[in-house]
Amino acid sequence: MSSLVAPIVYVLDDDPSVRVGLERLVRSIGLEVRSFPSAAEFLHHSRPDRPACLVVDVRMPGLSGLDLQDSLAGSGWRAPIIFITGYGTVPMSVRAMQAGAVNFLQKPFEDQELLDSIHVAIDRENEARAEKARKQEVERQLAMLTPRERQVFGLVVTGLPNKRIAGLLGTSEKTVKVHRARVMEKMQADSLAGLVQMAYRAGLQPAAA
Amino acid sequence: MVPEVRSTAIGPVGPLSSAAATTQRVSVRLAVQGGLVLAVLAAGYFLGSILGLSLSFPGTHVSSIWPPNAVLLAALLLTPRRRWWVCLLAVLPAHLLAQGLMGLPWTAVLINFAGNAGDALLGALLICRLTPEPKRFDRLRTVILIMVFGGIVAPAVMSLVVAQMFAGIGMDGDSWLTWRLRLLTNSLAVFTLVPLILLAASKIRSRDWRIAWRRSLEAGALFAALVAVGFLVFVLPTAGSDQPALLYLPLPLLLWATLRFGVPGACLSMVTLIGLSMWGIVREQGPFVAQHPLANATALILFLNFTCGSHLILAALLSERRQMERDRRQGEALHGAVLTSLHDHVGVLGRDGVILEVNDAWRTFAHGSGGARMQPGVNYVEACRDVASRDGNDSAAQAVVGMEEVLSGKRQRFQMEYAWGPPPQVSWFELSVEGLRRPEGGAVVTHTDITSRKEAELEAQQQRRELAHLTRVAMLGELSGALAHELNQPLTAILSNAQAAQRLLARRPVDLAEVRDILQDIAKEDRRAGEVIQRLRAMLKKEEAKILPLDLNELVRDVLDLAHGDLITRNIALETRLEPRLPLLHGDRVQIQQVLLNLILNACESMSTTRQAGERRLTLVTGRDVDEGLRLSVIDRGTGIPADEMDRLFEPFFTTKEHGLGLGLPICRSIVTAHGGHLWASNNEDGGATFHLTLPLLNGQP
Repeated sequence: MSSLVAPIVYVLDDDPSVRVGLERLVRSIGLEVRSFPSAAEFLHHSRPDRPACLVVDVRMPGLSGLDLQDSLAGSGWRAPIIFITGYGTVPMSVRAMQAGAVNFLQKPFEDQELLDSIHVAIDRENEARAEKARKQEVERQLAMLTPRERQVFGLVVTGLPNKRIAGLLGTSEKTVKVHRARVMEKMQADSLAGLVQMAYRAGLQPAAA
Repeated sequence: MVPEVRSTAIGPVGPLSSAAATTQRVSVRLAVQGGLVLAVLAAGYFLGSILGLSLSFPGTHVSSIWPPNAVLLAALLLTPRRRWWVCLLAVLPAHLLAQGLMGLPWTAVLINFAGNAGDALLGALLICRLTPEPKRFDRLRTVILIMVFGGIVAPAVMSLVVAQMFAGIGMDGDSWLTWRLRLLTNSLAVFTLVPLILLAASKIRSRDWRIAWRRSLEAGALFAALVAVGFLVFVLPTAGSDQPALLYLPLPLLLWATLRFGVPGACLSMVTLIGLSMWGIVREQGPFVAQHPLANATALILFLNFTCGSHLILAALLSERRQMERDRRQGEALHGAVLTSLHDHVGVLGRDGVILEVNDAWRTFAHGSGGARMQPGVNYVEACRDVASRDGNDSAAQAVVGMEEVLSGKRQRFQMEYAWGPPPQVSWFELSVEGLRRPEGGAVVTHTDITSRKEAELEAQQQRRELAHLTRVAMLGELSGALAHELNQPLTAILSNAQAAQRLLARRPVDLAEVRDILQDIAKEDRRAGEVIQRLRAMLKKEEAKILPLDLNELVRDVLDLAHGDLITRNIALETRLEPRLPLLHGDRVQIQQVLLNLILNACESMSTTRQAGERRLTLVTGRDVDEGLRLSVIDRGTGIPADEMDRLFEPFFTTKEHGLGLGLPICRSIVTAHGGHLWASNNEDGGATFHLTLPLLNGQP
């Protein structure tokens, strides 16, 4: 697991002994863990910007685990959720998985089951973060391009030849070549493919030719 | 075959006309009867007049006895006041005829009629005014009234009037003499004839025609003796004024007649004597011939009056006494018969506890069970005390205390149940001691055999227990999912802890302190799971109720542990407001928990359709109740109880649940009632319903 920042596991269960047991288990694989007795308390608590995953009991007083899932999705705070339950039904588990849960475990579960799920969750989280970082990097680099260079970049990644680009922009092919070289340099790309990838990462849709 | 047409056939005019015909027939019969009576009255008056005249002293117009007024008086006493004019009218022709035969001038006839009628009327008026209804002519009081007012006062007054009237028309010389004689002859007639006629009338009315042969023989003998003696005294020539003592000879016979035959005996014997004495007078024999005829007459009549009067009073007195004796004996016989008829063993105790009398059932039972000495005369309380101390019998001891309290007046009633006999043939009895409300005190002790009732009670109790158990099991069955959840929590904790410990032990260095903590927690969690199982087991048991001191809040918490899972599953928020340091209550743990659990599950059920999560709230409140000890309220925010279901909530087999038996609430109520408390429901103002439960405190409770 490669991570820039140490991940944290949040445990939400209304039963104190279950919380304690889970905390111990998670700590035993060297991860940091914080536990809360209810979803409300968790939402109240300020979350540091670290890779995180949630281990949530589906049935809790007040806001249930599934409702928390919906609420978090709505507020845009993404972290993978692992559901645990002492009393689960098939529709419940289907709903949870369809909403993007990592896993849905019945109590009492084997330690390996939970820990594997946590690993998957952390990996997923790290991957997401890395992806986000990469996007941000590309955006930062894009910001350094001049407007003309931006235009050239946008057209280059659609696969158009320089001649056509020059025609579209109303400038000479040579100028386009110069811009292109400067873009490649600024974006630190070593091939057209790389440039396209960056564009994709940044979320820019290539315009149709 | 032509069907008979009867006169009572139902037709358009049928029933009405037959009813009218019946009334007509009845009134015709009454009229005939009335006419007959009046005819008898008139005849009696007439004959009385003739008799009176024929019995007059020789040389005088004084008769020894004047029956007509007495006859009229008796008739008036027998008829209602509004018909008196009919009687007077009936005797008028008789009077006219009789007096006409005597050849008296019409003025005298009229004056006499006025006198006779007035006599009877005045007497009847006074007597009727002073006698309470209904008139009984063998009561002493009535007889005295008749004698005094009918026989003395009325004739005295009327005789005065008549004498004055005669003097007024110039007839009769010595008005005082007339007055005296008239008075005496009238009173004699009243004394002898009125009671006779009245008794005869009541005998006829009662239609009691029985004749006792022995008594008739005795009466015959008496009559013969009386005639013989009377003859001897009044008629034989030898008996004369030399031996006035002979007058006393008839008296023993008169006494015999009075004592044995009461008022009729006295009257009839007097009549006999009158007849005999008059016969003697006519032949100028007897003790009353020495002097001037008028003096003779007065002497005789006076003698007869006093004799008759005194015997009459005696007769009436005796008759009254005899009646009282008869009534008393009847009362006793009734009392005895009632006592004997009772199935229960009944004994009457005096104030000191001595048995006064017992009924047959008591005697039979005492004989059969070896308590033969529990007879009248034995001190029952002491006997019970002996049994109590000798056998260490608690019931007997209790009974002794209760009996003493009733006998001393401390309480009016004492009741207790007790068992008798060796098991398994145990009989149950109910002892009831009721104080006697009379100055001498005492009590009635009743033993009632309630074996069958008691057995039915015990069986019903057993069945109630089974039923409560059954519903308890069913309820816990409903909870099974929630209970699985409850057990899952500690199991999860245990597994996670154990597996964490395994991982810790694989590390170097081993964190033994942490491992120790983990093991401690594992043990704690295990015990927690064990408790859930234990609570479940306790509720599933079908034991007899164990009454112990209980803490209501502790019971609530235990039940909430069991129901906790269900609350979570149904997503119901729980709020508890348990007043701390509540006094203890007396009851069976399992049963009260059953009630609490039932109420909580019902509350959850009622909120299962409530959509909004925030509205699913269950509140439990405990505290003191002003009157009743402890109070618990289970408040939900469900749909509430519809008005038409409110009355039927606690009805057995009433349920709105698809799969419900409808026995939960009725059983809860019967459990609560058996504990001396109350269970009821009400709707909340802000929606939902509340079930209220009150239970009495430990102290001062059954």
